[in-house]
Amino acid sequence: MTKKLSNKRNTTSQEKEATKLSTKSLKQPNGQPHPKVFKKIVIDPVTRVEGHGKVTIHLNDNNEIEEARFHIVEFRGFEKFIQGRPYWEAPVLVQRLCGICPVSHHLVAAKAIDKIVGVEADGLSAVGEKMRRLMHYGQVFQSHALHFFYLAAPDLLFGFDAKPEKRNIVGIIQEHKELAIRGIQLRKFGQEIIKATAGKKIHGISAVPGGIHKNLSLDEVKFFLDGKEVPSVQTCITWVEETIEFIKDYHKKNSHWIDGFCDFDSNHLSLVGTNNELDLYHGKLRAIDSKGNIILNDIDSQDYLQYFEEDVRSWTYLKFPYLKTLGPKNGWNRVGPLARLNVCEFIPSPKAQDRLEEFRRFSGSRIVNKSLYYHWARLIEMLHCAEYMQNLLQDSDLQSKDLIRKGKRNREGIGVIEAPRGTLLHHYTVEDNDEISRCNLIVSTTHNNEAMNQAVKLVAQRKISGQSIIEEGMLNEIEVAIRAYDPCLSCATHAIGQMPLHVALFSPHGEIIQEVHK
Amino acid sequence: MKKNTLIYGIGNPGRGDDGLGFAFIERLPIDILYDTHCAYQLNIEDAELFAKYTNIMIIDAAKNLDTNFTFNTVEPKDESSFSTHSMSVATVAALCHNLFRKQPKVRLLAIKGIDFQLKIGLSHSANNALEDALFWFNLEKINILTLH
Repeated sequence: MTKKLSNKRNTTSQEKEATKLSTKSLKQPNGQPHPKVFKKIVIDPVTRVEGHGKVTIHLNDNNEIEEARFHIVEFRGFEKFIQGRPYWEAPVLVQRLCGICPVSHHLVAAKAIDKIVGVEADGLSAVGEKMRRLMHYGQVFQSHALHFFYLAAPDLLFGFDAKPEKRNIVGIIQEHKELAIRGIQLRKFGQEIIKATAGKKIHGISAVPGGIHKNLSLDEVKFFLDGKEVPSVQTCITWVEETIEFIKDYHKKNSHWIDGFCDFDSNHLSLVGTNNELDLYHGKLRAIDSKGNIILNDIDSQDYLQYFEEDVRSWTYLKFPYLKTLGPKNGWNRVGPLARLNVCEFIPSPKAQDRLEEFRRFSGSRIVNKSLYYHWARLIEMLHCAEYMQNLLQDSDLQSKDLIRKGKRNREGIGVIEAPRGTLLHHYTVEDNDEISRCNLIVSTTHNNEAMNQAVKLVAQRKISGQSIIEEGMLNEIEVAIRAYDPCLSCATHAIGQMPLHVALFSPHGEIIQEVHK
Repeated sequence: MKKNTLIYGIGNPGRGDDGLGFAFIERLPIDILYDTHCAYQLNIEDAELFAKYTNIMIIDAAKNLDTNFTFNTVEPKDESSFSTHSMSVATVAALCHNLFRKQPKVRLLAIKGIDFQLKIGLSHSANNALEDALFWFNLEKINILTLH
């Protein structure tokens, strides 16, 4: 007999409708009980992340964790349906896979298509590159603001086991109004930068093959400096610095548990600039191990196929990329803010650099493998973005009219960029008739797939294993672990209404018993 | 001159009649009395946008209307059920008051749509409803813009 679990999960009306928490004995495909008795907890959906995913936790008869998995249940097919479209549509079409970070997809597709039209990264005009950079840093800034103030802050301010109806942005608005207003206005600043550079806040159109469609007028520059319609960029810097003070203080007060929360060794991957600096727009691909040893030595993004492979598993639509030389077990990497601060030598903006040094001193090691430090790292990147935008807004190159360059046509183009959530790659092959014949996307959240699964398993083992009563707060800790990585699940899977669907039913031994094609 | 009225179309033009909000805004002439704005959906930042005006008119597509359009005042309403990606007009109005201590008059013009599948362009029925709504708006414009 299995012990019956008592599951208390206080939910809002919305969560009651959407969250299933079930325990049941698993059955074999023939309907007979599985010889080994498991119970299963399902968190569906995982909340306060971008997109839809679920967590399943399998418990044995002693309520010990047998398996814990983070599943991505969305399916997308952008790599397939871009085929046959003219290459110049890629930057505006592929970004439609996401409403949160479309700028990153817009820009990385443009970078790849630059190659198709024969324009190398250093071949863009000054205004072409700087407008794209301004757009990108505005995007990272607003995305990080969204994540910190709307998604992560409720956990930090109210505690993981606070009532779910309070543990959200509305709770923040009710109890921390000034913080909420700052979050909204910081995000708005980034969105307005995107609108000014990309034409629209969502699904912009300005990055075109070989350059940019528009420059930035002096009136637009004034909009971001005078602080009338949006907070000035200087005010943004001040507010982000104050938020960093908050997170630093939070770490000081809570280091006794933060430091041990999902602390595990991993590799870290990101782009670095020519002087080993943090560069979110362009650079060489570098990976380091958990101790800081370089394991992928500054390769050109055009060579990525020589170094990366992707593993697939039957229970998720999300792939598992890894370095070929180390294999799927040891070759996976964390990406995103924490990985970037680990990989780069320095940040090329003074205030953010000071904050990086403070971060490294506090953590006690040059390479930080503690998952909750992602939040602090994200805020340091926000500061860097604000400083970077402040410099760019004062650069007269942005008013140049030398917008687009052309070169000798190529068949293949690869673009890499550091999106808010990590390293993002687009790869296109184009035929002589200008149609795209092949597309591969390796999306930031995909790189973090193994890390998120490790984090889920660690929290499940620490908080749930052996417990007879599962409280809602315990389950939220699993979500907290996932949230640290700010996954964008709609990006990472690759739904369009009536996509062909292949369902395969596997036996406990991995054999296919039944297949259905829709 | 600062404008007191915002006319805000919401919806997705890629989903057939869900584009009614955008289509209404596209048909409005530039006017010194109002600003226009379009978005796929309302979200938290819109509370700050609402706070800049005293008069807000939201245009959205609606299913199951008995008439081609309806025009109603929306009262602020705090809701515990929400998404950061999509909020109701009433919730945004409540956030506007909670965060910025502003309480603009918010009204919703709902226009009848029947086909919300993946396609660009309005159905014949939605086009007729749009024409009726625009005709009504032009007749009532002064009253709407002067908060009557």
